[in-house]
Amino acid sequence: MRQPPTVLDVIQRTQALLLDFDGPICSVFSNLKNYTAAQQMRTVIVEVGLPPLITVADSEDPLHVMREAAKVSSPEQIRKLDQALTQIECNAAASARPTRFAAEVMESATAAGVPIAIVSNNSHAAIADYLARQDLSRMVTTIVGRPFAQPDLMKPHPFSLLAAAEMLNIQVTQAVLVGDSTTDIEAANNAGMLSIGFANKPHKLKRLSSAGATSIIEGHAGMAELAKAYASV
Amino acid sequence: VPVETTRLKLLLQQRHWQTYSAFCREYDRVARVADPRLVGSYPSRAQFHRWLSGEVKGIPYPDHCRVLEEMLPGWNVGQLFAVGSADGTGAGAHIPAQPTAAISDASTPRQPSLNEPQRPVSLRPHIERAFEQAHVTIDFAGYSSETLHGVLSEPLDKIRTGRIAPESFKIRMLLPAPENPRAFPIAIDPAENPRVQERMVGVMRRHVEAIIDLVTELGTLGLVKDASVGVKVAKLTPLFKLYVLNGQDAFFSFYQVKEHVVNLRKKPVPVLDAFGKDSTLFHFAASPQQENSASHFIDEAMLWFDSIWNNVAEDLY
Repeated sequence: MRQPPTVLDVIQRTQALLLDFDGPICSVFSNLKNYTAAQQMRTVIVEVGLPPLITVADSEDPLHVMREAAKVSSPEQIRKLDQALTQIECNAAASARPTRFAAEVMESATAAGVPIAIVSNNSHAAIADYLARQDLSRMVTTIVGRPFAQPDLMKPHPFSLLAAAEMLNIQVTQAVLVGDSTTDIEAANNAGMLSIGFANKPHKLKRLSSAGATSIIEGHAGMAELAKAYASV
Repeated sequence: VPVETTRLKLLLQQRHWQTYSAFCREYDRVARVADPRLVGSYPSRAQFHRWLSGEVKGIPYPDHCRVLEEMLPGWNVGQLFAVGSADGTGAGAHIPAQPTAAISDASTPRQPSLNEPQRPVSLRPHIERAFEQAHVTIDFAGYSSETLHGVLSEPLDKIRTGRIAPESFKIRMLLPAPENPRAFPIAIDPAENPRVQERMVGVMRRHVEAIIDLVTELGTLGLVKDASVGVKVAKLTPLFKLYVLNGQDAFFSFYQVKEHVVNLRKKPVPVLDAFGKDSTLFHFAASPQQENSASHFIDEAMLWFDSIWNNVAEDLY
């Protein structure tokens, strides 16, 4: 059987680094905060005039609540949901925990002359605030957040990846996306882009690889490996 | 006799920041973002004029260097204070007219040598700069509104959350007419073609409508005093993509036609289609000081755009 490409192979074949936000850069919604945020979104659903939705009654992911609610919402309601979610995300991002070695990855890529873009289903505002607070903005060329009021263009739709490639003026096939969820890997495959699955929890390893990740990194050690790989090119 | 001048002066002139007051305003604006402690740390009027004329000995204070490099991304202080002559001869003329994208995108410590192949200039800093003006115009011609929608998403997010606030924003999109037969996209199997056409028009309309909604909302919310979107379609197959930003910066790329597979109702269908995302955007920047080939290109591009827009294109809605 052919060996899957190493992280070094992948970055040698690419000229730009796309990073998902929640996961590879920091933990916006973790554990308790995640459930609280989902709970807040359930309240918002009722406030905008939707009935409580059975499909999201137990959801622990505010983005999932948003996506499900959008399916039965008017455009006006979707805008209100998106605004509310943006606010929740900005609050959560204020206390987000940085992912270990994320700054090192960004620094070594930048030193290697590799432009960085953030492509995320989180809102632009939350990402921009976080990067500014952590003094990471200087290393990020562009942030493509959740397409406002267009939840169906969220990853796995390739929309944000294509937008980032256009902004960087780089061919999609010459960029790599690092992400920790299967939707990231699917979005990369839909765009024709290479991907590195970041298995920040052991159970993700199998999922990311069956979603078709070009290469996989595991945990903090994996992020350190990625930083080292960029430092060596 | 050519007048000796620094590259800093030329770059400030290009951006209309050559007066002391305009320079200080811009200096403070950048400093506020880079490091608020540096706000107000701009040089004295006399020192500013020494900078422009090249009468400085050595390199300015580190704080000044930091802000200058932030103000003019891609240039290091050594390059900014290199002396050349305004007519393009002398030491300064050996420095490339544009920084390479690799360094303008990210503040890399490494300066590429002049013999190194240059990475294509990225669109992002130019979009950002365009949206910092009070009056923003974007003229777009192309095959699909999807990439334009993507490119607009970041600046529109920034307007919506109050990070930037242009007074006016006008966008014109010139796209292929929906009902018109096109050279591409085209299904390899003619039986599949109607659905391929339907899909392409669907994608186009969807992103056009998203852009209209986003921009109109900014006007309705009062975030932009004068926000408008014009969409016209012409009976042609776009062969290239063109962005003109504020009439001053143009980005242009050729579409390549390639075979690939799209999923129509979960069924893979091979098509010949334009692949804008596989080609490189060329950048043309007009210089207000002197006519050059980039200014001519932009002038001609606008004449071409207006000729189609005014004579043969029709409103989509």
